[in-house]
Amino acid sequence: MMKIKKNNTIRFLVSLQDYPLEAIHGAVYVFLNKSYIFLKTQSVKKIEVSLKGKKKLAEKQLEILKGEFLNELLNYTVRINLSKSNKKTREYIVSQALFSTFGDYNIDKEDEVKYEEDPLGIAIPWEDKYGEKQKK
Amino acid sequence: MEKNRKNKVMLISFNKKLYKLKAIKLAIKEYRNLANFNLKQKGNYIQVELKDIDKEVKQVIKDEFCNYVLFRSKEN
Repeated sequence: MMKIKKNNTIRFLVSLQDYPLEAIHGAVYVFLNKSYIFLKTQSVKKIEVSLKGKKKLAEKQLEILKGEFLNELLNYTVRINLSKSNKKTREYIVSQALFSTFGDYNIDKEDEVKYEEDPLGIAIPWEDKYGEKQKK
Repeated sequence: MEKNRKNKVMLISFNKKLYKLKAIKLAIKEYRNLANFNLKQKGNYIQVELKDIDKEVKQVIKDEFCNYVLFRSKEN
């Protein structure tokens, strides 16, 4: 990895074979408040990242900044890879959740009986159902 | 404000693979009161020309503008 330290700036190359572009943009976003960042393409598969300190930084501090950036880059790469590998499982869980909700709704509708229908005969008066009480 | 401006031209080249045109346009919109911006597209690059930069922000406008473009790129 190439490093150039000049004008309060550290420059280094990041390979797109090792880190996806999405991860680079993610790490850049995290570092926007810490440093000034500029991205350049060096070749088809390599990107030059320039990190410039917002305050005056010593050489050692620039090295630390670079290390932190690379850690963040790794963090984003792992996150993206995990998200890709879990994609099918996530989709399955969501589809199951949605399907079960939809299924319950249908069952409720099918089982729903209107009170006017009175299938258990609750609304029928005792006398109509069993006849009048016989006097002894 | 106009008295504070110098006529020196600043050029920033953004690679189209790394920067979104929409983000650059939004950044120009936000920064237009600090300089005169001119946008050109040359091959794989989007070139932004800054003229009549406000003297007060001359030292930081390039870095701040580039950061703002990256910020907008993530948002869009």
